[in-house]
Amino acid sequence: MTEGIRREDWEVLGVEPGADLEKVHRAYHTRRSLFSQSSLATYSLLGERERDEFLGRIDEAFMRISNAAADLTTAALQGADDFDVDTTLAGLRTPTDLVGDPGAFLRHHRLVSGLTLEQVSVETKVRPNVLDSIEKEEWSKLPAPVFVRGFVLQVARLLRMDEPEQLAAAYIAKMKIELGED
Amino acid sequence: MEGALGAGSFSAAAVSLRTMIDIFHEDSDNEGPRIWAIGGGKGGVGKSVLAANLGVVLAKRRQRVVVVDADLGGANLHTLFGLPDPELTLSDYIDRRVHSLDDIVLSTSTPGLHLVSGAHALLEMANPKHGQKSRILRHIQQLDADHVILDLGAGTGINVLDFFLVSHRGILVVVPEPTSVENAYHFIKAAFARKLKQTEPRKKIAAALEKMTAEQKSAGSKSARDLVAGVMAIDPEAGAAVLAAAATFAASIVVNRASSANHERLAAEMSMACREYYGIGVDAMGTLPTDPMVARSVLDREPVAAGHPDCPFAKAVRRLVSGLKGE
Repeated sequence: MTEGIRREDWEVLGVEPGADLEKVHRAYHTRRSLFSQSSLATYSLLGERERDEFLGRIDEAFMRISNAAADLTTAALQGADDFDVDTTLAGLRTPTDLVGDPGAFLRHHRLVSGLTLEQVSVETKVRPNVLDSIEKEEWSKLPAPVFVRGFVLQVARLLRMDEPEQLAAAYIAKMKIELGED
Repeated sequence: MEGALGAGSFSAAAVSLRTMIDIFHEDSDNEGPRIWAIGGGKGGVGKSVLAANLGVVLAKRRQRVVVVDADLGGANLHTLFGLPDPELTLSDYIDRRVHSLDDIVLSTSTPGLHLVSGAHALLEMANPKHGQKSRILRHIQQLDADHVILDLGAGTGINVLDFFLVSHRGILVVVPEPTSVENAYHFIKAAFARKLKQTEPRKKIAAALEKMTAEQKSAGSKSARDLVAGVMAIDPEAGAAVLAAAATFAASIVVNRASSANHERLAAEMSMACREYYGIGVDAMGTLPTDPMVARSVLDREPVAAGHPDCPFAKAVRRLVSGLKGE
């Protein structure tokens, strides 16, 4: 297990304890850009050292929360029956059903990795809106399955997921059923 | 320790105290007018233009309004209202040539809106003595009006800060430029420091602050959050008082001359930075757009909300006021 979440981590990020991972991410990115060197809104409010310290606190809080989320995912995937999910961490729980919710599964792994859609897009050359539609399973907005399969594979590999092939297959199977092609 | 001083406890305390203090004038059992102060540190950001137009907007809501040109060094609000050089001004009052502020109140072309001019003030009037200042404040609180709007000068002089701190709502006008943002934060820090100087137990707080400075020679300007933690560690009683001062400190940011989506976000971002980093409540009151009608209205010597009530700037000032109702 990694270092546990501290009570003040949620406060540092300005979210409710146990907020879901997507909110945590949004809060983190908002604060990161608000307190960055180039931000007009915090110009001269913090000295250089204070800025580094403050950003360090934000980074650490975020790291502890997302590590805990990753631990939850691992434990859940290993099917640990006695795994006790703290109720305050309910929002961090992973959708474990890779076959039933492949899009949500992919999204969760991306969020745990700390990557934005834009960052994934830079690495994979798949446009952010397409990535978003893949995660949300917006079937009608997606290109043909053969392309989608390749995209899902690329993303899963980028995120170093355990079984990219299996996820891509599950995704395409669901896509074809939803589109009535099977 | 850390947890007790987290963002949550600060803002919760600030919000509950604010709602107690900060209610639109109707309820305030006639304890005198509601006082607005408009500052912001930097010159030329639109403080006087906002003061004038805020006055017009409130007066059009059938409120009795007095705008006081408290820019004692460089008053020119009368010009924005198209009034001639006034014969009697705040300086006559300070010098006791007239005995009541009511004697120097001028009418404007907007019914219900009056002006106390600060024109002709001598240079030394920018720094009235303590007794003079209390007398001005006392009389302001006795003015027969629903709202008094104080147009403060630039800078962060003690008198500017004191007028700001006694107001029910202190507004900082900011334009989307680093220099203006810097001045606004300088103003906020100076106003909070001034508030601490007036907070009891004064001697204990001062002693704790001195000890903190002595112990950390290199420490720069500390955030309110750090001050609370530091003072609390030295003297819990003084610490509690500093915490209360931080929780009751209130200021509002208005971003003027906004011309992009980034500018629209600036007030909310500054508010968040003050709350989360600095540890005091500064709310985002709103945003006023860049509007060529404003410059024209200055040349026409008529507040834009009076002459061109449908232009974007005038509408935005009305939204500022509407946004306050029932808060």
